[in-house]
Amino acid sequence: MNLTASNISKKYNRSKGGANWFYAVKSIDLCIEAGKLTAVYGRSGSGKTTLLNLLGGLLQPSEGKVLCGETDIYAMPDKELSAFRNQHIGIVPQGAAALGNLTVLENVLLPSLIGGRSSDEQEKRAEALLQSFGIASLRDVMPRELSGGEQRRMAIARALMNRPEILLCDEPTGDLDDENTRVVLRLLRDEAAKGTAVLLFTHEADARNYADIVMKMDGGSLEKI
Amino acid sequence: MMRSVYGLPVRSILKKPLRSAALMIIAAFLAFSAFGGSLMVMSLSNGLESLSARLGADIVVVPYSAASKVSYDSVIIQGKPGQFYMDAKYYEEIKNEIEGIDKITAQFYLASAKASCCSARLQIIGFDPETDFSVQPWIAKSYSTELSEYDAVVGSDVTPNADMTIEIYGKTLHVRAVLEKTGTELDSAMYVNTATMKELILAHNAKNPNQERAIDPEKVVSSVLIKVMDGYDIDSVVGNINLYVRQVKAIRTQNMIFDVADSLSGVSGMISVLMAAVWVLSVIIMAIAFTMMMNERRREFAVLRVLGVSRARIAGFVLTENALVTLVGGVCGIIITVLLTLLFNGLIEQSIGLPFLLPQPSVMLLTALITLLVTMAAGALTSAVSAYKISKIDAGLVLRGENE
Amino acid sequence: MKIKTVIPEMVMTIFSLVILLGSFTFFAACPVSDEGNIMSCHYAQVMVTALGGLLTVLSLTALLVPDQKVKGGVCIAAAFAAVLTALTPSVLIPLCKMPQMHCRLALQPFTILFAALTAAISIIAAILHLKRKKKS
Repeated sequence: MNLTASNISKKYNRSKGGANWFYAVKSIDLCIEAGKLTAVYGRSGSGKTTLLNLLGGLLQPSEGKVLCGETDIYAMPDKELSAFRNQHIGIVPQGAAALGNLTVLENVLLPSLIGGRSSDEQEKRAEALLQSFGIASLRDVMPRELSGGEQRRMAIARALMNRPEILLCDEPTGDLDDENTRVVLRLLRDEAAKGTAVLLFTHEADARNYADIVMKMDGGSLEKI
Repeated sequence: MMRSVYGLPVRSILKKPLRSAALMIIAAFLAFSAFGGSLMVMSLSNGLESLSARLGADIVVVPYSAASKVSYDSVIIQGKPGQFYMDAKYYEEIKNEIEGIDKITAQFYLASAKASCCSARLQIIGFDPETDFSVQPWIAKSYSTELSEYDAVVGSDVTPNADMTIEIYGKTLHVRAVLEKTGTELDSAMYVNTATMKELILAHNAKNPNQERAIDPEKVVSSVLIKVMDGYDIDSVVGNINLYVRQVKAIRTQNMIFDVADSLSGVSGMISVLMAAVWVLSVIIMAIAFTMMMNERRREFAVLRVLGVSRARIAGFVLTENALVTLVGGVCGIIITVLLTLLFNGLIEQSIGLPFLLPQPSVMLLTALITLLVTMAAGALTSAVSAYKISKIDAGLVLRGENE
Repeated sequence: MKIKTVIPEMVMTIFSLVILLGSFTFFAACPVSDEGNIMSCHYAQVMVTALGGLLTVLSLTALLVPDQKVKGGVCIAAAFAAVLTALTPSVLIPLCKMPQMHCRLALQPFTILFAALTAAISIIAAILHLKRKKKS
């Protein structure tokens, strides 16, 4: 399944009542292809997180459409869109994104619980994901006891729990050391190889080596490098 | 292991015990003040009702020389131990010369210094079985046979010996029945017929040789109770007695009860105002505390949004968490109220000094349920705004750190 | 000694002192009569005062002793002593018959209330200390 954005923009009004608009994202056309890893570079304030939220169905665009396969995601009401996101779009947010009250295993299982699927099979899948990400021994540990790298791996495992066709990652290697950075990039590369459409927002220079397509975002606009 | 996403609110409560306990304490306080306040007001009202129901007479006539209004008022209305006497001839005078009297009877009061069962003063009330219309209907509920000499019927707080006797001034009385609770000091009174009363007065005289004037039981009565005939104005009869019969004072019993009712409504009013103030304050504190707690967890809710939880469901989680906390807190508050009421019922009754009768258990249960519902409704109200705000968060903004 | 870790013992001490001091002051039993008659509730009061003293000593011991295991053990003892205190008026030593007597109105309910609270806090404290001992 491809993720296609057609002429999407997001504008904010700088002052109340006036017409002083600020474009966080400006008329972007983008296609995240299945089976490919797309890396987008951009400084802070370039609008990449806004773009990720638009693509993930978390932020209504001011203009344009976002299509997952053939489905216009913003044509759906919130309940349907949320269920769609749960099923088809995996998102790895920036920073710490674990639920502190749940164990590592429960965090990874969460997407399937949200989708109303709870079974031994789902538990096995979660454990398998932990295994493949090298954190199986931490299944009963609370997130606050994990290192930065372990937390990031847990977040990616969680995003993959429901086998989404699309994976969106916002700075997944943000505060990781070199070794962990390589591990995470390799995992994302492997996912793309399995047929997932992977989009990666990053500062990491190394990411070019793992990406099929490299882009740059600046001032709300996107261009291929 | 959490097996359902609906376990999230429970998990949030359990993982932050101090925070949850704080909210539960506020909810418990809400329930405690509402339930406790309601019980107090209902008990005062019940006490007054039982008092009015028990009196029976329209007019009470007492000696003019009775020390103060307080003494005859509290003895007759509330049963506080006391004694006063007037010449029995006034009873005859009123009976024969005042128009409009349907029923008339005399009562005798004796406040014993001590009975075998205790060292508190026991109020003894003697009534004439042939003419009485005030006490006997009430006694009949617990004991329908006529009282013989040395028989007694006692209030609910009087505990006779194991063999159902009481010794008083060296005389042994047989306790035939224990009356229903009234919530007044009549609960520690004893009722005997005139014959027994006269014996007791003589025995009292024998035990108190130094008293100023021995009471001659053949020549005195303590009070005269009157039921006015239909068609006659009670106030006119009161006026006539006060005008034509010297050395006595006739009072309309309604007026006596009104005074008690006044004090009672004053106390009830105060309780209600206090309850309302506590509630408003507690609800505000709960709203602030809950809102702050939810704001601290915006990131957690943003993650749930990212994982595919709809806005409506997020609001549901917030409301569910609040409902669970207020339910547990409310139940604890109610249980604490019941325990404290059961432990301190007697002390409250004595401290207030007004008729005080706890409602029936079924009424208390109903009140408890209503209190719980109201407490949960208040909780829902305090969390509604939070629930709405949290459901509207911009997940992306929150996760980014809201600083770009 | 962190403040947070000694809160249960401090609360225990306060409740014990309430029992000790209150039992012969504001929730004392019926006074000895002018004729010198001593009713059984007087002995109940004396026993409650003594047990209040014991509870105070146990609470202070739990507060000051550093060892977690000893603290836990002392708190368990305090819990038993508190239960005994609650049972003293009326169950172990009879009180006056009439419900409006001061021993029934004040001594009994206040003793039960504060003894029950002391027992509850002692049990919680014992669990916390023995758990901490296990952790270390």
